Amino acid sequence: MLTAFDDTAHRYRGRVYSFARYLLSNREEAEDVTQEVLLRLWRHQDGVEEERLGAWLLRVTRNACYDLLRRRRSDATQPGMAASLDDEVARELTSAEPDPQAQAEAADFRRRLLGALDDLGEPYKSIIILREVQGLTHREIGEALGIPEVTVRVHLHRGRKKLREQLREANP
Amino acid sequence: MNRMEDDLTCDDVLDFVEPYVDGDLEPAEAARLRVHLESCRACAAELALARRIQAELRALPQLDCPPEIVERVRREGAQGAQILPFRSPVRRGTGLPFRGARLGAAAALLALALGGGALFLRSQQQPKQPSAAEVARATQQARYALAYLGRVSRQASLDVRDDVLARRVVLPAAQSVSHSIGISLGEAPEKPVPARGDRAQ
Amino acid sequence: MRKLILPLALFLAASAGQAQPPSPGFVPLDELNLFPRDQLSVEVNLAGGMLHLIAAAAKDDPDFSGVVAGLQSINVQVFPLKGIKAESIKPKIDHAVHWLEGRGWKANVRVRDQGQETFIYMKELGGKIVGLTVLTFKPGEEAAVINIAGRIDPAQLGRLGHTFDLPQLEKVPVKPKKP
Repeated sequence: MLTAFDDTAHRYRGRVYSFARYLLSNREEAEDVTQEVLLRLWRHQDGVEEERLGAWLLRVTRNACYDLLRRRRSDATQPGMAASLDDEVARELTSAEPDPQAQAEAADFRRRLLGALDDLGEPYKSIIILREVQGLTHREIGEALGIPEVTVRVHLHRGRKKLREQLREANP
Repeated sequence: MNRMEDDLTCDDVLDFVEPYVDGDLEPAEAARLRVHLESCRACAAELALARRIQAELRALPQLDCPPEIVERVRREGAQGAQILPFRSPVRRGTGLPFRGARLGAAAALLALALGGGALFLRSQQQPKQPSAAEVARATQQARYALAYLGRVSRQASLDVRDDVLARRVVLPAAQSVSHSIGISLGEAPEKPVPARGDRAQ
Repeated sequence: MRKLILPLALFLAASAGQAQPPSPGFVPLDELNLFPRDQLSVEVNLAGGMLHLIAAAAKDDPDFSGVVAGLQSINVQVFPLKGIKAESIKPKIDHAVHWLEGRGWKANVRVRDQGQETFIYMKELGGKIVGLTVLTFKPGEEAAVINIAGRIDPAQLGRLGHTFDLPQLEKVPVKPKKP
């Protein structure tokens, strides 16, 4: 029989892991963060209101990723992390493109997009992942990150503009 | 009928592309942008790129992690798992880890010892005991927290000690307990221990 | 001994499929969302097993060891306010105050003095103090939140706070202790 914790953890583990995976690009680190976040859920679930649980989990996840990124900043850049994320994404997706050349072009665009996303700074990266990849509303993102909804929209636009500038340069 | 004048430059349009894709532009602005796009292939290409980026981002899948992570958390949470430092190496002596920290040279060691805040479980191994260095670092953090508490109290011109808190908290709490079990309190609060010199580490 | 039994009890309760109660004196600082974490000048997060290890390692300092042994968590966030407007932080402090008061925390100290504000809250359970939360805010300098959960003796904590003299923190001279 599932406990309340089991139910909550299974319901949210994908969202937490996916957020961390796209933020960090590194699978092992994302699993560590997911484990840390779920352990905090275990400890403090009674202290968090049900309707704010999702926002709380995302905030804790982002903060845990921040700690990692802050430590990682002083280390040498780990090559290939975005590439491994692209491999994992590619395995999940089935191409809708009709011919091999179009498929190759689509895969190349996606790889460059993930690379540009990996290079994007905060808060743009978090907001783009939460809005475009995870489908949260502007209001939900604002609650999760503790910022006004209008700020979410502004950051979202600026972040996507930065992605466009980077991808445009690769395709003059 | 009034005709909207296209007074948007390409630079303007490039700033408006993302809000336009999201439907966040005022109708009048959106109309001017569309007029510009009808005659500017470069900006039209930018709009197409912006739309493609959004579509590709939205097509990215939700990735899932192994379900055994939940089981591991239940097991380790129940056993009171210790939180261990993340496996990434932490550089020593390369400056303060916190942006904006302005501690002196003597406190740089404290700042390094405070590290990066949250610690992480090892995902693929059973948790092992923290090293002596990790415990020493955590000890400094605990002493810092208690010292900060003392400083805050002093700056508020208050002492978090018997003769102030006893009146507000300790005695009332004790009295409520004593009332229920019929024991009267008549003792004076214990005098504080005299301050020490340098703390041992 | 209570400390030895507690981990076993947790294990047994988990095996029976029951969720573990969090420490009632614990305040999830992430939930308060007071300060941007990537701009903190100091952050401390200590809990459970690590605190036991600290207490065991500090046996040469029985006051400190005794206090820490009874604690379940220590969490601190310090946020520098130089160049930051007080108006942007004050509402967050007020929100934290309301959060605490809405969950049964009692204010023992509320001091406002020349723009500086200090709040000391305590959580009582069964006649004992199980949580201490301090909010402090000095415009132009720094704001901080401290949460300590567990078995708390304010008198002991206060004595310890006086004995720790970190020069880099002491901007105000310590008042001489009365004989």
